[in-house]
Amino acid sequence: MIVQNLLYGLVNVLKISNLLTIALGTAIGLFVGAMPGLSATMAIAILLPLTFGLHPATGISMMAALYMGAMYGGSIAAILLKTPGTPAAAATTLDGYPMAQKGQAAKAFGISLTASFIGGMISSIALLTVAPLLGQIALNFGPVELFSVAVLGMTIIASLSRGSTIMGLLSGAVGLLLAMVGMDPITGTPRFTFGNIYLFSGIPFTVALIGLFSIPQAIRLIETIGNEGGKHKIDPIKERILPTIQELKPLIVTIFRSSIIGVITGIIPGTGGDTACWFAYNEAKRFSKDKDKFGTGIPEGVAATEAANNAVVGGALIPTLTLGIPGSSTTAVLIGGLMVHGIMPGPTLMTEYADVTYTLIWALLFATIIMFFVGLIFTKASIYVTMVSNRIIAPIIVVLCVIGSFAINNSFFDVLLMFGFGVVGYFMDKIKMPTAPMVIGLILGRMLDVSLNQSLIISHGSWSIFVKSPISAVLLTLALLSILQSTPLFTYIIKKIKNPKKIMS
Amino acid sequence: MLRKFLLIALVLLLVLSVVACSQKTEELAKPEQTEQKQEQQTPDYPTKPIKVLIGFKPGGGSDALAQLCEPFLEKILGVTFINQYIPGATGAIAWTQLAHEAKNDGYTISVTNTPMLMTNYIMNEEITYNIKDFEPLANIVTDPGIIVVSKNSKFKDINDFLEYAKNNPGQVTVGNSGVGGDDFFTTLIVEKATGIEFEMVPFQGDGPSWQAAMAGKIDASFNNLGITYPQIKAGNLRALALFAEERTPMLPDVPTLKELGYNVVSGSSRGFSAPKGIPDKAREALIKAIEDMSKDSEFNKAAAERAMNIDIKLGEEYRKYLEEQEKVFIEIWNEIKDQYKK
Amino acid sequence: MSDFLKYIAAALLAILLSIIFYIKTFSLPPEGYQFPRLLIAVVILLSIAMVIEAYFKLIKNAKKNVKTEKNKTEKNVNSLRVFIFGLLIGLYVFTIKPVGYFIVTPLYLAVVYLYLKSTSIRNIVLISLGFTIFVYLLFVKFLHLPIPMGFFS
Repeated sequence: MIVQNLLYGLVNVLKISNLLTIALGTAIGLFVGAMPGLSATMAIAILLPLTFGLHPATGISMMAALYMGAMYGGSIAAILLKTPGTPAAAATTLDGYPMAQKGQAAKAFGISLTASFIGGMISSIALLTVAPLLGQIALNFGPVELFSVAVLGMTIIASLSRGSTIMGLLSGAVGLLLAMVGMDPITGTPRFTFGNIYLFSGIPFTVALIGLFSIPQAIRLIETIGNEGGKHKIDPIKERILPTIQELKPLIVTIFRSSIIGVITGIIPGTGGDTACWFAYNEAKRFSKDKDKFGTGIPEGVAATEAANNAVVGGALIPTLTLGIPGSSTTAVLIGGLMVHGIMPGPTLMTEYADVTYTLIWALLFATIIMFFVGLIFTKASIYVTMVSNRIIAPIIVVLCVIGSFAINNSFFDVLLMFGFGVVGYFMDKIKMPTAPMVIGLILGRMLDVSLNQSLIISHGSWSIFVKSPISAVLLTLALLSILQSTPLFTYIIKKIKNPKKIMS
Repeated sequence: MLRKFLLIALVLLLVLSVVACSQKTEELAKPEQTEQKQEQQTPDYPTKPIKVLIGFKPGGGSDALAQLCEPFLEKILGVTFINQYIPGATGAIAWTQLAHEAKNDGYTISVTNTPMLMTNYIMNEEITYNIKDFEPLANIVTDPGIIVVSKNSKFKDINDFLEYAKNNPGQVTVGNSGVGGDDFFTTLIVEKATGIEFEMVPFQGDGPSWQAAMAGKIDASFNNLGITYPQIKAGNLRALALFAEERTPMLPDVPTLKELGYNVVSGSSRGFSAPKGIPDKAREALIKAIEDMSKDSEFNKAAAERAMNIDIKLGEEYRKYLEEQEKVFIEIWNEIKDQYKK
Repeated sequence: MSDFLKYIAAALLAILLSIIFYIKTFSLPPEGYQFPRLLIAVVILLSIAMVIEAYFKLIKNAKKNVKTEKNKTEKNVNSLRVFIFGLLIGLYVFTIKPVGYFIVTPLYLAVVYLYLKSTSIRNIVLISLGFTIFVYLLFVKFLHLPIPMGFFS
């Protein structure tokens, strides 16, 4: 039965018309992803109604392909301009942009593309083979476990703080505090909203992200005279993009680890690419021998985040297709699309609607392959941007930020908010306070607060619930280890254990 | 260098404009076919596209309703509908705009859903609209409330559940879709009707609430039929009771609370409203169009495919329904607000 | 402004934010304020810690008399240019609502390009108008996303 469905889906997806729509979806995704201010979720939500005329399998496959394409597309702007094209590419700016600054833009693209490809393939294959098994993981994540995920996520803040740990922590804490703005989820009381109903739903972190990352960068591009970009002359035609086997070898472990992180983060309901990229970056750093080089433009940083955010796509589809539980906000929109096509999302997707579901799964796999080739052409073309003067690029980034932040909620208030975060971000940059922790605080703050309160209601006020759940206990132990690891004592102990001859950096 | 960049920009522009144009012609083609047919019926309304304010994200429940109805209404009225998504403050931003900013010329309407439409301003004084600012057009769907538990739950039927909850006050954890939502108020209504005290766990939406119940993280979830039906059908969730006037043909074995002697009828409903004071002609035309749509078998089939429970209440009937609901919510809120507000 | 003063300013801002939020917590029910109050305390403590850290750095630097590094990074920044560029962003953000995308966007781009002397007049006109149309087609015609239309709506 399953084999039959698999074969049916494969035959179906190989129809020329389906392959063409998948290719089109991937290309649109790449393009939309590369535009700062436009995210995959927005594009899918808006374009979905246009696919209602198509066969459900074709329409939904096209949207999944768009999702996949956008996840790679986001890294293009992140590497070239330090303005993440999608929230899931925010962590790519950390090492991608410094690489481009060193004149290695093409190399960064190649690594990003290869990592995205492998991440996408691993998640597609996981979806194709072990989805029903992995789907159950989603059910195990209730409020208690989500709280522990959020706590583990918070430990990333410390490791992101290059230079001064205190400043990183402060930036993260302010992010958390700002995440408290909005309707309190437990009592429904508006908190810190100052009577403004535009703040009732909280500060949209995508808006804050655009402000914190892109506006300071636009200003930075014009702040010095006589430094007008295009200093690293790259010939887009001759430049080699794809990494050689030798270059790829040291990255393989990172890519695989990140892919697994991406798949799992995708499966967990409520977390998607925007969280996965930070987790993956953090783990890559944890396992690396030279942690200090992270953030200075090393291939591992780019590979880690890009493999993870593409792996999220397949991961997020796993609970969506096996249980009808959306693994990320983007797949939540896809579920809405299925309903319009008259397909009830739920456990029957794999049986009753096997024709649509298996076509979609194969489509994702082919979308990943197509993404690789279309991405290659697209990337070559986008390298031309490095030749354009910074004086021309800077205001264009500003326009995209303004229009993009407006489009998210159709709200001027969000544009003002974005601008405010932009100003704050610029001055934070001036005193060398990192902005990334603030974004993480904004992403995780809500989750932390909501799940903590929910857990305590469920346990009738007992904190022991967090260690009683095995998943939660493991995650909290990991978090504790991460904290200890960043203290000097830990490094000292490791040194002692690992034979004094071999001193670690 | 610059020339190359401009060239690329130009090519992209060309591609996009081609795509855009092809869409435009599609859109334009639609109303033309039906225009002459409707002309004698409504001579001056509608003559231009109708804007629909949707207070939630695209892809959500309100969007689904708009997407369901609009193709049929477009056919009947001969004009296109343009959705404008203004998510935020559980719909309040869009409804405030509808009440205070939108022109009442009949060319701006909104998807209005209970209980959010009323509970928003009942619970928060910062929200400045109320249902008197609107001209209710019609209710379209109502999704009745339902109690669901995990398939492994010790509660086999509603009597088990209520009895256990009665004997263990404040111990049974029940999920709802969030403070101020329909499931939140339904739980309070049930508590009042039965004298039982639950431990209420607010989630952020219906999905997380039934998922937690399905995984056994909470004892039960107060949810909606249309949302949980696929899981009930697949056997992952067990439905204990329905908060409807009568049993649903979808789940003939599930009793209503009414049968058990508790008069609890509740759920979430979605319909359309316009700003107050729109021209009579426009109001009549819109209500008539919705009435015609509800008689279309194609429409009913499309709704059934999406597990949407059609519940048409036209014009005055819808207004009365909203007013009654408002009264109920104000009463409950006044009783409990001290626990929630300081 | 010396680095140390900058840190003090930043810490004061963070503390100010915390105090405003703290005052606001008094109108909240207990479930609503516990976690935020914890965060407020953390923010204040970290702000103070940041200032102390900066102070020790100041003393250390004063001893070593390291000034070359600082000058390198600071001197190239053209503060006036940054200020005017930021001001233009602000103007753009605040005028786009009443006036609308189609007028403000090409105007903003052209003014910035003229100010920065980015390229020839012909190219300025071409890029400003071309990009405005491009974004319009991409957002409105292709993705059906809203843009601020101002009095074009």
